[in-house]
Amino acid sequence: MKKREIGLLLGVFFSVACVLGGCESTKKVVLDPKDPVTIDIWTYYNANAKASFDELVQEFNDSVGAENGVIVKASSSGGVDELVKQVDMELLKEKSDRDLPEIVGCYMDTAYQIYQEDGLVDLNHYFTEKELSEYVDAYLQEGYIGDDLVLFPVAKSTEILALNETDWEEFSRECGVSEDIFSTWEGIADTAKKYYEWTDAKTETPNDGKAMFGQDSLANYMNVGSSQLGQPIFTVNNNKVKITLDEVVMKKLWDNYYVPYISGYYGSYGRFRSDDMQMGNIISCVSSSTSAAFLPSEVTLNDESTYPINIKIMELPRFLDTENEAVQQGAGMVLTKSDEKHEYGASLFLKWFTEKEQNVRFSAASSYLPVKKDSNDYSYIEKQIDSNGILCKDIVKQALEVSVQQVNTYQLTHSHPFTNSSTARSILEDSLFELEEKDRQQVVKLLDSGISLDDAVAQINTEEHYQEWLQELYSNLNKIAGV
Amino acid sequence: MIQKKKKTVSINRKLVTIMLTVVLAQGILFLLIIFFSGQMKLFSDNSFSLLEDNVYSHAANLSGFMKDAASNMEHYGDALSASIEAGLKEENKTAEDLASDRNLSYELICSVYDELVTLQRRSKTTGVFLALTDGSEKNLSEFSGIYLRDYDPDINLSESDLIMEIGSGQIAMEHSLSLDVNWKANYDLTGDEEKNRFLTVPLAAVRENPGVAMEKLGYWSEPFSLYEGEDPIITYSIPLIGEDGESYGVIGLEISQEYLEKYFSENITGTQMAESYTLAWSREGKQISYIPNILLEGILPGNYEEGFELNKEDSKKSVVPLDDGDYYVCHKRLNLYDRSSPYYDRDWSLLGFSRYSILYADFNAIARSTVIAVLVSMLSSILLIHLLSSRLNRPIQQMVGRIRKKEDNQLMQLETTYINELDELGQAIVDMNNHICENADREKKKLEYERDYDILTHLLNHRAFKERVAALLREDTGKLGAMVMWDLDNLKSVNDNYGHDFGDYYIRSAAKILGSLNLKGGIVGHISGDEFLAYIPDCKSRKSFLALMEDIKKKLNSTVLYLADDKVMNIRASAGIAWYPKDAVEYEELKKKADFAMYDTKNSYKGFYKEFNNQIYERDAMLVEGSVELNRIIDEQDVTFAFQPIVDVHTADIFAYEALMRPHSEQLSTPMELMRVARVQSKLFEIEKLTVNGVIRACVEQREALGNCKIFMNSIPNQLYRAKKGSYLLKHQDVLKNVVLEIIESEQADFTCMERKRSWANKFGAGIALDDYGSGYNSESTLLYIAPQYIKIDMEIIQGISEDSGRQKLVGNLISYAKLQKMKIVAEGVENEEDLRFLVQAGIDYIQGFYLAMPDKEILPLSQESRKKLLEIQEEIGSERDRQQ
Repeated sequence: MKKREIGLLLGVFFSVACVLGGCESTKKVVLDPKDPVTIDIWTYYNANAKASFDELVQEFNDSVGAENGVIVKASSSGGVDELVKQVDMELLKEKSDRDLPEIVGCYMDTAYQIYQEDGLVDLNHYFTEKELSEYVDAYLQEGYIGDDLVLFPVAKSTEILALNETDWEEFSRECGVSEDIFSTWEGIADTAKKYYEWTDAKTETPNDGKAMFGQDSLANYMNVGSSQLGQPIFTVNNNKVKITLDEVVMKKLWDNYYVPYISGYYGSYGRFRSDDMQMGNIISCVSSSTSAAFLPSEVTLNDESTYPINIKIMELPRFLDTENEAVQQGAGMVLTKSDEKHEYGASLFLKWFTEKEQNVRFSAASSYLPVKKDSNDYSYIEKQIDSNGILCKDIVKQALEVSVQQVNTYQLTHSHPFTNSSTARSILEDSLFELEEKDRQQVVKLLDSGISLDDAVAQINTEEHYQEWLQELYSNLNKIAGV
Repeated sequence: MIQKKKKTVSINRKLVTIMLTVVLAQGILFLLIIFFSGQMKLFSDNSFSLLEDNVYSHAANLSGFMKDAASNMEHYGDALSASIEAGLKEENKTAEDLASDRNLSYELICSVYDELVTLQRRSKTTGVFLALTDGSEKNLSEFSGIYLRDYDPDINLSESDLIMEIGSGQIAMEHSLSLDVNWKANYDLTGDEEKNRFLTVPLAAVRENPGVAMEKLGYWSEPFSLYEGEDPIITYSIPLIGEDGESYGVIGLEISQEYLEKYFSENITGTQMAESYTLAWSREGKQISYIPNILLEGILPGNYEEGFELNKEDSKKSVVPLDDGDYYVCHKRLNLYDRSSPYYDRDWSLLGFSRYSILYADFNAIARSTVIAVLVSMLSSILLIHLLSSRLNRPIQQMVGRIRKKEDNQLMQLETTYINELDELGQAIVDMNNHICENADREKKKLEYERDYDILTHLLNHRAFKERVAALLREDTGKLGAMVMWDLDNLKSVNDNYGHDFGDYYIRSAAKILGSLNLKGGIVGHISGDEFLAYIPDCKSRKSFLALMEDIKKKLNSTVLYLADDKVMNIRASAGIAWYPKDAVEYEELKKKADFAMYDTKNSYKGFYKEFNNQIYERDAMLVEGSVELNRIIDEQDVTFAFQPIVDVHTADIFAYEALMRPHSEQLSTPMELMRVARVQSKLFEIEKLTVNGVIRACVEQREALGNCKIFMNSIPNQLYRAKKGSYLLKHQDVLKNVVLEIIESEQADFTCMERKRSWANKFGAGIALDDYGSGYNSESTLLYIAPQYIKIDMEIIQGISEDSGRQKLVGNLISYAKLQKMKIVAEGVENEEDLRFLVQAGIDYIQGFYLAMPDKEILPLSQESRKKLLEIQEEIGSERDRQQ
C-alpha cells in the first residue's frame, strides 16, 4: 500500500472516529490555560534588575500565568535609549507592519508617542478604582493623558545624593564642613568651592583642584528646581504645553550649577557620575536612586591606586527657603492595543507584578521603588530582602531606605507629556551641559594662560552670556514644542 | 442411527454472524496490513530523524555562531597583533616593556580600541578583550588591557551601550564608556585560577606548541564568571605571538551564557523532539564522555547533569538510548576545533535529550488512533448490521406474530412487507390457511354434530344433553320445568327375538315421537340403549304438562311396528317425571329423581308414567345409597370391634368377650343397618369375612389381654367363610380355637351351610352359640337343629326378669334343659342387681351386661368393683341357701 493511500485511509478513520467520539469545540472563555496567550514585554532593565525581573516573570508564568493561561516573555534592550529607539523604529513603520510587544516598559514621552498613534490601552478598563487607589497617587498621576491611564507605574525611582564619606571625612575635618551643607544646592555650591581650593592646595600645580560634585540629570535639576522655585519650565494644560523661563528662577538654576561647573567645582567626566566617583573624579553626586547599585565600593585613581571607600546616601538637596521636592521617575509600563485576550493577560501580569510582595522583591533586587502606598515601607522591604535571600548590597539598602523616606515626605514632580516632550527634555538636558562643557574648556584655557580662576569665570559668566543661553533655550524649546 | 438435531438459528443471527465475520476479518486484516507493512515504523523513524534534525541543525547553528566569532577573531587578531607590533616598533619598544610601561600599554590599547569595538560588533558577541603581558606571565599579578562588554550585542546604537569591565578610566572617559561596578583598571591575576584560564591557557599553549600559528591555538573556555556574582560567560581567546615566537598578550571574545541561551532559543523553530538541550564537553577515549556545561533549554534528566559515557559503537549512532531506558540522547559534535588544534580531543557537543514516550508518541498515537478507528468502524458496522438485519427481520417477526396470534379457523390477512420473497411466502401461508380454515369449518360442524348427537336417533347424546340442560338450569329461571326419563319396556326381548336391527328400529321409532318435544321447547336426549331423557324448561303448569305426557304416551302406544314374523307391536315405555324446582334444582338430582320415578313406574305399572314421590324415595334411598357406603366399608375394612366381657358366675372371672362390630360410618353406623344393606345388596358373605378377619386380627393384636378367654363373634348362619391356606386366619389357630360363633337366631338357617359351619368350627376347636335366644321365632326348633354349646338368652327376656315370673319360668326351664344337654347359658343385657341376683340364684352360667361390664374397644379385665358385686351376691345366695338348708 502506498503511503498516500494509508494517509487517506487514516484520515477517513480519524474523521469517523472524531465524529463518533464527539470532537469538542473550544469553549468561549476569556483565557484558556490550555491555550495560553503569549505576552511580550520589552524592558530596558539590565544587570540585577533584569535578573530579578526575569525571575519574577518565570514565577508568574509558573503560577498565576499557568492558572490563567498567560505566558510572559520578557526581553531587555539593556538601556532606555536603546528601547526608545526600538520603539521609534516600530512607530516609523506602517501600522500594520508594527511589531510592538503587548507591554513596553517606557517613560511617559514614549508612551505619549504611542498614545498619539492610538496604540495604547486605557488601563481604567482593567483596573478598578479600588485597585488604583492602592498606588502612590503621584505615580499614577504621571500615567494619565487626559482621562486615560496609559502609563502604569511598576517600579519607580527618585534622585538621591551619594557621598564618598571616606574622602569627604578628611576634607570635612580639615575644613570644618559638615554634611549638612548637602541639604541645599547653595550649600553644595559653596562647599564645592572650598573643596576645590582645598584640593588645589594639596599640590604644587596651580588650578588642579578637584570637583566635589556632579549631577547625572540636568533636566531633572532644572525641572524640579524651577518647580521648587515657583515657576516650572513646562506647564501642560489640555495636552498643550506652555514654556515659561522665569528669569529669576532660571538665574538661580544657572548660578547653582553652571557657575560652579565652569569653575571646576562641579564635574562630569565619565559616562555617569557614579563612574566619576569610581575613578575618584568627584566625591559626591546626585543621581537616580536606581544607580545606587553602580556606586563603587572602591576608587581607582589614575588607573593605578585603588582604595576602598564608604558611600553615604542622602536625600535630594533643595534650594534655600523652598519646600522639599524631588523627581519621581522610572519607566512605567504601557499596554499596547491588541486583542482582548492579550490585553487582559497583560493586565494580569501588571497587577501581579505590582502586588506588594513581588514589587518589593523586584525593588530590593533592582534598587527601584515599589509603587503601592503600603509597599513604601522600608522595614517591610528589609524583611522581604532577608526572607527571600535577595542579594542586595548595603548601598542599595541605604538608597532604598532614603528613597522611601523621600517618597513619603517630599513633594514629587514628574514630567508632563506633550508632543516632543522627550526632545524638549533632551534640549533642556543638553543646552546647559553643552554650554558648560564648552565654557569650562574656555575657563581651562584662560587658566592655562595664567588668568585667575575668578577672573576667568567672570569673563565668561556674563549677564549677556546668560541671556543669550536663556533666549536660545527658550526658542529651541518653543520650536520643538510647536508653540 | 440417531441424527443429532441441528440447532435452529434465526435469520437475524445468521445474517449478523456472517456479516460480523466479514467485518472482523476485514478489521484484523487491516490492522495486520498497517502494522506489518512496516509503514508504522516510519512514524517512529520519523521521530528519531526529527530529533536528529533538531539537534543537528541547532548544533550547526551554534557551531556556526561560535566559529564565526572565532574566525572574526582570527581575522581581526592578525590585524590587531600587526597594529600592536607596529605600535611597539614605532615606540622602539618590545613586548617586555609592557609590564613596566603603563603608558605604553595605554597607548597601544588606545590605538587598537576601535578595532576591538569593531571586532565585538562584527562578531555580535557580548564582549571583547585584550590583555597585554610581557610574555613572562610568571609572578605577574596584573596585565594591562581592556575588557569591554555589551549586554545586548544585537543592538549597536552607539558606544554608549558598552561597559568597561577592565581598562583605563581615561579610555572610559574618552569614549564615554560606563564603568562596571566591579571595574578594574587592570587584569587581576591573583586569586581563583579558574577565572584566569581564558588568559593563561592560550599563553601556556604558545609555550607548549612552539611554532604553531596563533589562530590554531584558539581556545574556548569553560563557563566562568569574570567577577564574583556575575553571570557565567564563555570566551574564545587566542594568544598574541610576537616575531620571536613569544606570546605578549591575549585577545578574545566573550559570549555570555545568557546570550548563548537566548541565541539558541531564538533559533528554535518548529517541533522539538528534545525536551532539553545542553552543550557539553566531549572527551574521546575508549568511550566518549560527555560533561554538560551549558544548559541551553529545559532541564536535564536526572542523572546526566554530572556527565555520562557512551561506548564507541553507540557513539557512532546519532540517537542513543540511555541507561535508564526513559531517555534517548542525540549528540552532535560542534567541531569547534581543527584536527591540528591542541584542544581537538575536548571538543564541544550539543546534546538533545528526548523521552522515549515522546519519540514514540506519534507511533503510539497513530497506532492507538488506528486501532480506535478500526474498532469504531467495526462497532459502527456491527451496529449498522444489527439495525439492518433487525429491519429485515422485523417484517418476518411481524408476520410470524400475526400468524401466531391468529385464532383457529380464522381467515387471515397479512400486511405487505414490500419484500418480494416475504410477500410471496406470506401469500402462500394466507392461501394455505384459508384453505385449511374452510375444510376445518366443515369438518368441525360434522364433528360437532357427531359429538353432540346420537347417530341412531339424531337426538342429543347423554353428554350434550347434560351440558345443555345443566346450562339451562344454571340460568335459574324459576319457571316450572320437568325432567322426564323414559325407559323402553320391551327392548331386550325385541333385541333377543328379532335382532338388533329391529331393536334399533324400535329405538328410532320411539325417538321420533319423543323428539317431538323439541318443538315444545324441550331438550331431548338419547341416554343409553333404552333410556331417553327430556327436559322441558317451561311447562306452564303441571296439569298441561301431564296432558302433554298423556299425549306422548298415546302416540307411543299407537305407533305400530312391523316385526319380521309379520307380527306387529306397539311402543311401550315407562316414564318418571321430576319437577324443577320442586324436586330438585340441579341436573344430577333432577335426573336421579326422574330415574327413581321411572323405576317406581316400572316396578308398578309398566308403560305408564309417574311423578316423583319423595316418601317412597326416602324409604328406598338408604338401601340404594347405602350400597356405596357398604362397599366402601367392606373395601376399606372400615370397622373396629368392641369387647364386652362375659363373666363366669361361679368364679366371678371373665369367661369370654363378645366382639361387637362398630362400623366407621355416619350412614351405616350400627351393625343392624350394615346388615340390612348387606342383605339387600347380597354382601352377607363379605360381612361374614369382614367379621371373622376383623375379630381374629383384633384378638391377635390383644392376645395377651385375651388370655384363655373365649371370644364370641356374630356369624351369619347361611354364610361360611373359609379362609384359604396360608391366610392370616389360619396362621392364628390358637385364637381360632377360642372362638365361639354366635348364630343369629332370627336368620333363616340353611341346613347345609350350618353343617359346614359346624364342621369348620369343630376343625379348629371353636364353639357355636345360639344368639338372641327367645327373641325370634321357632327358637326351640333352631336350638334343636343347631345344637350349640352355648345359648345366649336375649336381653328382652333378661331385662326385668327379677320381677316377671313368666320369664323366670322360661329361663328356669331353659337352664334345666341346658344342663341336661350340657349346654352353657349366657344371660345378655344384665343391667341391674336384681336381675343379676335372680339369674345367679337361678343357676345361670355366664352373665353379660352393663351391670358388670361395658363393651370397650380394648380387651379389659373385670373391674374389682364388679367382681366384688358378683361375689357378694354369691355369698348372699350361698348363706341364704345355707339358711334354707
